[in-house]
Amino acid sequence: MTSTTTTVESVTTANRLAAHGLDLRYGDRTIVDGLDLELPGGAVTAIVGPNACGKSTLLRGLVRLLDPAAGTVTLDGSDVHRMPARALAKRMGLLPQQPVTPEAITVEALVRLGRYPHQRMLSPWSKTDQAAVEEALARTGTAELRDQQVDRLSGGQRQRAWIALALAQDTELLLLDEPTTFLDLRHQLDVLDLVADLHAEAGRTVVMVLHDLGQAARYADHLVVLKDGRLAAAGPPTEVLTAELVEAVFQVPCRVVPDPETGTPLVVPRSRTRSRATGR
Amino acid sequence: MSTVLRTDPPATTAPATPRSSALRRPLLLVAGAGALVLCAALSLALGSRSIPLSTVADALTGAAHGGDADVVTGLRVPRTVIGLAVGAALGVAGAVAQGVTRNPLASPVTLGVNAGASLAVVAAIYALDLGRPVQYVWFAFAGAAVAAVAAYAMSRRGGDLDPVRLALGGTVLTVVLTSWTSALMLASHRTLDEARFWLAGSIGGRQLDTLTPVLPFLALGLLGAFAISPALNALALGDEAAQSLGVPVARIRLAGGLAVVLLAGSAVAVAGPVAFIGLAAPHLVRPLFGNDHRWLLPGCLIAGPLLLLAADVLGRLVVRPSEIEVGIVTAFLGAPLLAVLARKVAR
Amino acid sequence: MTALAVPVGTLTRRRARTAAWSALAAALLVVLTAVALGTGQVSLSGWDALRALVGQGDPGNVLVVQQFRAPRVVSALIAGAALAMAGSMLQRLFRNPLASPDTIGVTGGASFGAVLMLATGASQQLIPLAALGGGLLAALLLGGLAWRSKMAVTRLVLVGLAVQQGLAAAVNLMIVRFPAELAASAMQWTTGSLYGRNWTEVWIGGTAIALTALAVLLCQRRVAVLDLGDDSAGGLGLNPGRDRLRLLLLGITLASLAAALTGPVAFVALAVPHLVRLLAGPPTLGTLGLTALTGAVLLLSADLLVLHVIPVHGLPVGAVTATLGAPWLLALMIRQGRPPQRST
Repeated sequence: MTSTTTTVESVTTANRLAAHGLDLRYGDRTIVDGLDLELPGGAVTAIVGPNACGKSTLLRGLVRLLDPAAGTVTLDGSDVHRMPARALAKRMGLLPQQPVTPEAITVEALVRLGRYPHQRMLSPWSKTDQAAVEEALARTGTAELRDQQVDRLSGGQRQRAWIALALAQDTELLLLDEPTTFLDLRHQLDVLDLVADLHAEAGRTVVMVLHDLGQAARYADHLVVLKDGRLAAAGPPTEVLTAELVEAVFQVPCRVVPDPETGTPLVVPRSRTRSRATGR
Repeated sequence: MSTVLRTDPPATTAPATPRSSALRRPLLLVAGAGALVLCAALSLALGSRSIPLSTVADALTGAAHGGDADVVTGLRVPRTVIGLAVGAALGVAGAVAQGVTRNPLASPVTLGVNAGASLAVVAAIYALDLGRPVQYVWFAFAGAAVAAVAAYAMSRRGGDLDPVRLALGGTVLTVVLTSWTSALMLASHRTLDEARFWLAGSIGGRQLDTLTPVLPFLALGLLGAFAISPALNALALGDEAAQSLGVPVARIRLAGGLAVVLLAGSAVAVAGPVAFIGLAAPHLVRPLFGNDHRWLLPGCLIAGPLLLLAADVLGRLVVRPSEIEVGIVTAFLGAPLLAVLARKVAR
Repeated sequence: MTALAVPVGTLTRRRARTAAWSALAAALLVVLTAVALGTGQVSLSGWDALRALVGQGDPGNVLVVQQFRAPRVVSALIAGAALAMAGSMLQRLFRNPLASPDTIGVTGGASFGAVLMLATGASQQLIPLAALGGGLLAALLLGGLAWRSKMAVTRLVLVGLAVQQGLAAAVNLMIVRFPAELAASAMQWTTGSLYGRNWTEVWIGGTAIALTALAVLLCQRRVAVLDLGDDSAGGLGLNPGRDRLRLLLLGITLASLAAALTGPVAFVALAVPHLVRLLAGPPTLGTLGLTALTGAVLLLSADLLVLHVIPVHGLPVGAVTATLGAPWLLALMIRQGRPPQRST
């Protein structure tokens, strides 16, 4: 893998996702509440926050899997919910949190489905399609798995196959919902390195929901911190990730130190053994 | 590790919070039982001839005699008692069938029970010239049992029952048996003429002697169903999780299957194939009582007869002085109800 | 299944298997067609029968084959293929191995339409039309009940079931209330039969089925994308709720057209997709052809048995499709160990 350092100069004006007064609800329950948010184009954005803060819901709203109860989501100024579905799918790819793997499907067959938005009803499988699939397989290192059944792969391999599907979709924006859940440390890093490469080499705009603050700080140019469906902070990790913020959002007293490897902020929770002892 | 778990309350408590206070479910049960008593009273009072509730009470205590009282004690009491028993059996059987197969579409009908009973009864009418519901009881029960055993035999895999295979096998069996039943009926018009009324499903025109032979089976089935209800909760988490909780998955499924056969077999033997109650009762009860089988089963025990009696009373009223078979009414009423429910629960 | 743990070339192997089974089914289809056209009071060799079909040979034979036997054979082929394709589509879209025209309202609707027409005493000619109308009524009910709410698949299955139960109850009511004679012919109709089909019906029905099947073929990519779950499908530019419902209505239309031609023949739509899955793997564009062929073979052979082998008058063809198909399906299920796994 090549260098994973990301450069802030690559931030462009295109591919800017933004939310304006966004309300997202499930039934009567408001999950995201009047959110104003601007995500930089050409950058890697990580959305973090405690459980049930609305991270995944926000992501679903951004790709319009959820219709907003109020407010709008715009992509470069035009309302996402007014764009034709296919046109949007050509610009924005999604890796859901829990994708459904069709029974006995092979890796290549799965990845080929990523070409769906680019195909007309009668158009045959084209060279462009095949090239996109090949590139997606190569980038994710799943080319040699192409003939295997996805439901028989290991967790890490399966996740890469699903990312390959999103890559074959060939979109400038890539949205990933907790792409590292259920993976061990090495596979987590593999996936995140892959994301960083996509950004550095192919200039993709990436928005992902992450759990691990250290990983988010390491891999993202831009951090969005949510709490109870509202914006707690947004900006570059070095500015946003402070001990006060983490304590306020996660209710975890901590220190923030520079990551010895990368210099990005690293959250170290304070030892709780004493408070537990006094609590008894 | 424990600190991590402790600092994470939303994840662990969120699924439990939506259901409100501990009193709600007992109160709902009491309310349901009250409604059931009311329904039973209506079932005694209403029909082609309406009888005042006071006369009904007198007839029940033996204080009144004559036309109306005889109608109550001779016709409506057996009918109501049969309705209560059949409804309870079907409701509980449905809940257990859905729990055991983890398939919301499962019901005694899916497992081939009704189809087996129907074929046996139609064959008996065809071959033996029978003509009264009380004569059909053992044929129906045997047919139901044989069909269910066949469905289980088909779905056994490595000593355990595979829920998907069970549902699929049962459906296949139902289709085959139903088509044979149709063939028999088409082969003999007398059989068709006789059997179509039984096949519609009815609790009328029967005396308690239709019910008594199956009562032991019914009781045994209810007992078994309630005994395994806690284990069904574990089963809902998936086989592996249930196993790791110490639940003997294979044995529970077998016991559940037996309970379904006993209950649904008894019901169909007495009333003929009454569709829908086994399917609808659990779906109706779940939004009120949640997915805990320890509450779901009692809920269905009340909801089943409630549905059946209400449908029967309605069937007697709409085309007075004639009446519509309860099996047809339940299907007519249950269908829109299920559709509405499905819409309501949909996000 | 674990014994076959050589994963390389899965796709190629599956395609080869699909092709081989398709070739076999096609060959069987030709043979059965020839036998069906040649068997009857005037017996012809298979070759002569096929020649007579295209107008060659003895004019008497041509008349018998073209006017009397061919319409019935062709309806069996068309309806069998349509039912099987519809079943496959419904099972995939509902993510439920039990979904079939029998469980989501088509059977109930078609029977309702036909029996209602019988009750009015109108001409027999109108019954297929009434059956089609009934099937579409079921589709309309399903669509109307599910369209506005974004409905999860399990709930959609329940709505389908509700539609089926309601319509079946109406049929039942009519059968119980009818005089015995009428009840018998209603019963006959609701179990499916190929008696008395004529070329007009076959042409109209066949054209409609061909067009619908074409639409089904064109939508296969969409079906495959929906297989990825609603979130992924949404990310790939579908409206999962709407698109699923649209495709379902297409599948129901296909099944209704088949029911108009032959009545709601049991089992074909339920069993054939499972058979094909066990023979050739999970559904793809390629296996859809095999599905259609298998459905046609099953219905035609059942009809052959009804007509010429089983000495029972008035046996419904559905009884034979079920009896024929069930042991085969069950044997495959038992041998395979693991059934088609598609829990909701």
